[in-house]
Amino acid sequence: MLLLAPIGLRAQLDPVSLAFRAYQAKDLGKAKELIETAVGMQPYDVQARTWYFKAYIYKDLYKEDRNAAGAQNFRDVAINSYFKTIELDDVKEFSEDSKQSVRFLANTYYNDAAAALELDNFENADKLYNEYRNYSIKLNPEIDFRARDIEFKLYVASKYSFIFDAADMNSKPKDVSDKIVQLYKQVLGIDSNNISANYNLGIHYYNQGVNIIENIDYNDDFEKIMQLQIDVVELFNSALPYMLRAHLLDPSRKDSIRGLSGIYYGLNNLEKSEEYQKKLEELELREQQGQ
Amino acid sequence: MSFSQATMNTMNTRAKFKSLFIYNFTKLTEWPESYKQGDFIIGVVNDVDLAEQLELAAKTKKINSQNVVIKKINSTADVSKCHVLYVSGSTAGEVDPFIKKAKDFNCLIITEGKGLAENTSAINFVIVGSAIQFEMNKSLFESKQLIVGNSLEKLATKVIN
Repeated sequence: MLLLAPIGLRAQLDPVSLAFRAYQAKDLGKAKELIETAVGMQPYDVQARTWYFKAYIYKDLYKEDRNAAGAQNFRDVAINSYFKTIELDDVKEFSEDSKQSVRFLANTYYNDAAAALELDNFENADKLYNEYRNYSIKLNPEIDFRARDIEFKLYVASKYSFIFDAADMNSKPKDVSDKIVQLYKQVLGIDSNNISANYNLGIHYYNQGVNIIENIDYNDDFEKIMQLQIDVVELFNSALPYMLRAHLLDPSRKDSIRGLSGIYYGLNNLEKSEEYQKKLEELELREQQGQ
Repeated sequence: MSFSQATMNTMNTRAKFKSLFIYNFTKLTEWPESYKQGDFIIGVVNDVDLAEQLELAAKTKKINSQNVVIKKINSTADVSKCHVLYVSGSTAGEVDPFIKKAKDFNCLIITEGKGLAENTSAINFVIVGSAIQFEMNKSLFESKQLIVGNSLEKLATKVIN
């Protein structure tokens, strides 16, 4: 709801009120032009009401057509004008409404980031998410963003994983793999106890090893096969600590137990592999028995 | 935004490496003339995964221009003339009956058990630093009239003369 008071006699001289009149007449273009004049004039440039109204006009311009070429810019101007309103609003006349609007607009960045990810537009998604993040933190510096950051990074990693898994076995993109590793490690940097990041990173390393093995040709020479085996062992060794951590964090999670059995098997530690295989079978038996 | 859980690829990693090694052993070994015709037979004792992996390769690969046939062996009675005999089992007691049954054939005996290259098999798989490697016993190649190249010797972790 727009909080501007009805226009009085001063409307003739007050550029903010003139802008308001244009706004009421649904002429957003004229309202924009007039409010831009107002924010460049003293004393209106330091009045909260001027910036609040500017924010309102730009928010409406953004909402008018969110997909228009200038929409992103309108949103940026609106959100920054709301912040300017809050800064100047000594009597707290517009602050609460401005905060609500910032929250609304910030959330549109988040939604746009999600939409960009659906189209695999990672760069734009990252930029939009950071806008959402920065505006949210600017509004509330006390906010704990860790959970949201983790959620975003896990989602991006899973989107990259989808691309990686779908790629031809002979040409798995290394840059995508590096991104996946980087994202999971970033999540673990925020929360080393995140089970999904530990598990998924373990699986990513393991699957890369398996991809190499699947690609080895019987015509490859012996030296090459032996070198590839060293590479595979390195990947399985990289997978192990993350899978162990995932298992430690949730000992009843079957996927992690299955993962450990597979990794140890790949590392030719049959004793350990069987130990986890037994654990898995016991767990499944207990589930069947309803325990 | 909801992320998805990664899916683990499934494959028998050990079987693939062992089968790759076995194919390479055959490339670097020469059999007596009488073994250079007909099918190239690889007998696999009590290791279904390895046998299946070898079978997969046999569909497209030949060894020394011979078609490859994989024979799954579960009992000593199944042991017959072959070029390679892989015997699963970690002790001499487990593998000996099969190897004795093959004593009259010029076959390359391969095992996977501690110390089995000493007296039992020409090639013995061992695990070194989580990787599959192999030891070889040259005299057991010679006793089967198999000629082995130097390159195989160079790759072995241990060579017994």
